Amino acid sequence: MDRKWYPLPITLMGILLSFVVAMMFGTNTYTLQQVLGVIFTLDMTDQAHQILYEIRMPRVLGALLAGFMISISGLVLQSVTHNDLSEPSILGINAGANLAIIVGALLLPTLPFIGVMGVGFAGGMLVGLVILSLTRYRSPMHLILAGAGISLLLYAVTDFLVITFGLGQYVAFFTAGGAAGQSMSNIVLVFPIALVLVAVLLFLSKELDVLLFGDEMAVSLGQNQTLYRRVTLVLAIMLASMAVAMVGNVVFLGLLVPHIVKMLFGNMHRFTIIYTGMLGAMIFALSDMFARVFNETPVNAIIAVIGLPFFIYIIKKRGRKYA
Amino acid sequence: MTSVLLKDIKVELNERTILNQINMELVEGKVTTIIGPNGCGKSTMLKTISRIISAKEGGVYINDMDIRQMKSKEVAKKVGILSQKNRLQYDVKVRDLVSFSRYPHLKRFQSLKPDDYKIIDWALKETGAIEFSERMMSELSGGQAQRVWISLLLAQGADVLLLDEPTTYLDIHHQLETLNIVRRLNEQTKQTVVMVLHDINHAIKYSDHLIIMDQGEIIESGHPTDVLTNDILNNVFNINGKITIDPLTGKPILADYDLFCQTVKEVQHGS
Repeated sequence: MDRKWYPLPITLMGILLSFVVAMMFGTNTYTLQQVLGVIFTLDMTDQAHQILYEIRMPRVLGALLAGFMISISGLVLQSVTHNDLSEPSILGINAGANLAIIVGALLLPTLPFIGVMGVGFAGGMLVGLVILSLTRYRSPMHLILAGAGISLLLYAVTDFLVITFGLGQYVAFFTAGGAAGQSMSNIVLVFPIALVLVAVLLFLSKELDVLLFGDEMAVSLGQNQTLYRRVTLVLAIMLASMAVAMVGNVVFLGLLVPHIVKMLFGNMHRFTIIYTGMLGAMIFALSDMFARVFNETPVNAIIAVIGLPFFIYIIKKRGRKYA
Repeated sequence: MTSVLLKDIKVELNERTILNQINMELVEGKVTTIIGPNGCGKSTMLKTISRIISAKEGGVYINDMDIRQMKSKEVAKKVGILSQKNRLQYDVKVRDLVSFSRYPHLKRFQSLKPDDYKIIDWALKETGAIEFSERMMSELSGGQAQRVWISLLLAQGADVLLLDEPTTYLDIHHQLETLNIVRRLNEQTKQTVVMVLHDINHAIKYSDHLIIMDQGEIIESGHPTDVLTNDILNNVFNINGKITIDPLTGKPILADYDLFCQTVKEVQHGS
């Protein structure tokens, strides 16, 4: 077995550990016994158990799930576009999903969560495709300019709608990004879909490998590039849009996590997809925990603070020599 | 065996004609070398055969099948190409890179089977790249990297191998090493090899068949001894070359060459 699978048990333990830690710390701190009690001997007459079970656990699980989806989405977008700067928010996918969700909420105020996700996906898809066709999958500079420009425009339209129709409360958290207000029913809905999408991506990992190494390689090996580019893009945009429906516009995570993983584990997707998902889940759940500890600081700011030093350390230590 | 036939090929890039009226059949089981001045369409010819560039008119036929009507993976099983510019944007372990070669043989969702690993090992051993198969591409020298690329081409298992300037950027030792590998493999496996070279003496030394191109057309083709003449060098490359017979090998050799006009320096001195 490849030695790159050896850290897998450690990462699984890391997920469990970050779940427990994120359950313990927040606005109020609970003991390890209380957290374990919620899992093994739930007692709904106990007030601490009640808060942990009904409010904090959905939030922590939601953060793990969203981090998992956003990071894998970023990884796939980077590979398909051959662009180290790709991630859902830079490509405007988040802004598109966000606007579509707001429009959806205006037109159909009683839209159930699955409808919100569907609408978000349509919006994300539309904007993603517009930007990719403008930049023709290439040129990092154009991608950034087109993505930033269209995102700004869409957020301006979103703000206009929000102010005009007095949607402030409903919307504030989408734009800021954050894992507050999760419900178990949403998580139970999203989790299996996310697992299926990621499983398909894992099955397509050799296609992503060949796509990553460029047009000539793909043609000379007989790959149907158009097909696999489209399929993987749609999967990535679905993951990102579901994440927006859950936690709003989270930036930087989809850029940071895949790069950390690629520097540690190389570029082959059979490794990077799994490790990116797990590390993304951990980082987002812990960032959300710090957000709670620091009086609901925006989670985007926390991700930047936690992620950046690690990112800089790895760039300095490894340089361009990926493992 | 795999036959490759080019019929009335015309290729245009940015509305400029690169290849015009190309008709030829690759010589099966032999080493063919294409030579010609820069921009004469040598690389484009190889890219057209391997579908990287599509012809505006005419067609490429593999075993009498039009490549446009074949499945991409079927073409990749018949024809493999080593591109001129193999600069990797992303780093990868040598063995992982060579394992891409088995892609045409895998079905959708299928991963490498034990037989594929055996073929990859064989290809790495044939070129000697097995020594550094666990290292990253970025750690290798130019000559080592070229051995890896040739392993990739071998493991693809195609009958027709196209090599676009396989010796560019290599020093003379590694040039000869690369060409010796190609020659030896051709003798062992009887695969059809077509390569583009710039060094005329290498072309003579390592090929059974020579194609001379100029301005998108084939000027001459045949055995090196027959086609290489002073007139050809004069007309195609615009150099004053002298082909003589090497007394050691009995083969032709480009012994001396210079430009026809005076060099810039001499002109300046004269004025």
